[in-house]
Amino acid sequence: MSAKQGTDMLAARYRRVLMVLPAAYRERRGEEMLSTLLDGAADGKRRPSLAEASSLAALAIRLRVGAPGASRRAVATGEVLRRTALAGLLAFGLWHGTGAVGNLVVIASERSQYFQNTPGSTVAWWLTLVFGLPLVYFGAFIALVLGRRRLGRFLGVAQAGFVAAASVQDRYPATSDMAAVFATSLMIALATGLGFHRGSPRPAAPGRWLSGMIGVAGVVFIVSGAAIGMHLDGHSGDTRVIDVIAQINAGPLVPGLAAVFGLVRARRSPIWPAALFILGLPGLLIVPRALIHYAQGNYENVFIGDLFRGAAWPGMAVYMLITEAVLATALVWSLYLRRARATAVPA
Amino acid sequence: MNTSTRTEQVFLILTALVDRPRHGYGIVQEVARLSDGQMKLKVGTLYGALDRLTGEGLLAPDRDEIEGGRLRRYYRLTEQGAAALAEDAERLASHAALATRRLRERGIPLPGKLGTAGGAA
Repeated sequence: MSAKQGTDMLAARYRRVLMVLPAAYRERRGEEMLSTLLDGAADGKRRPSLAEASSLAALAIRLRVGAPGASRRAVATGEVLRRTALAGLLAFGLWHGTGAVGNLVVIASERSQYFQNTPGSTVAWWLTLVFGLPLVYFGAFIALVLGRRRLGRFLGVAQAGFVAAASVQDRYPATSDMAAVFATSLMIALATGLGFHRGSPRPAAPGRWLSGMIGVAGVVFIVSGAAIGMHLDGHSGDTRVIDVIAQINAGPLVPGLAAVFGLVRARRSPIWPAALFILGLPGLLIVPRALIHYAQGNYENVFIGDLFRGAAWPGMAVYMLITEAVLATALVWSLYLRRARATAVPA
Repeated sequence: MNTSTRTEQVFLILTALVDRPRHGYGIVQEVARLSDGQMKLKVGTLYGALDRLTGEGLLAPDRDEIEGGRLRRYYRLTEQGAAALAEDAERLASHAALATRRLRERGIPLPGKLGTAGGAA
């Protein structure tokens, strides 16, 4: 093979690797990047290296989530991902946080019984540690909102990844439905990792984000705290389910608030409805789980016991379907409004 | 981008363009030379940085040339880019001087050029 044939072959292979880039970017930059790649190739080189290919793949991903040089659609995708990540970190922080508060009440009130119910003190301490970790979600949220991208991304990805891994192993006690928790955690980890890339803008108006977090957390903790208080009054003999009481009160509240917020924001832009709809999608995995339980006549939830026999799974499944339907409607309505505005003829 | 968060890669890319405009591979070569071969920029990293720095107004496209059938786009440092680089250089020099002085005070021998530069730092 002649030197020219070798170069042509290498150029063709580089062109194939460059196909991972978005078409518009490739059109603008492709030839220039090809020249740089060919200039840097050693004599006799026949194919792109793995390092070159992975570097271009990473650039392609960043460009699709709104890195500088990306299309307007990719910039919007990045914004949706960042809001999905922030809403997910907040939601999971609240959900696990209410369980943690309930669990701390259990430990404080019946510490010995708590340990007796857990096989081995090491596991008990491990569970206690896990219940303390929800604070990491809030830490990640605050760091990302304040522009501490690296710290927030590390905390968010690590914590969501940890919960996803733990839910697969069925060792995380807060997993009332492993598939939904696993998929949602994975979604949060991905959205955080991809959305808060190098060069991503920091969230606008951090004060508004933080006050929103405090407001939502206040509502959720008041409701779950009231539930704990009512339970302690009525069932003072059994405190083992307090964490679940807190969670099943806080759990539905978060998607409900999200659906209302998505609907309110739809008039301005489709970004929020899209972010919240995407975040809620993995939660729909609870629906087949509920159907299977229903078909088997197995209504009992091992955590909830007699309290909500027969109601918990189908109720949550229908509730999740309703909130997702509301968000989907908000998204479609918002996209319709945007198109109508774009095509409106000024008077 | 905040001054304190600009990476070493970006610092070297800006430095590579101080004396004259360069094209993509020219920047890769110059950065490798400036870092004594320690930093080898990958094309994905280079173009990600070029997009970002151009967007921030620190760099600007200078001209396009076709050489041997290959398109070469040259980039130049803008006034804003030169000011940002000067600010970074001053900050890093100040940190380096502080570290060098403290190491000397503890009697720790400094390697390479620092060790032979005398007590100027």
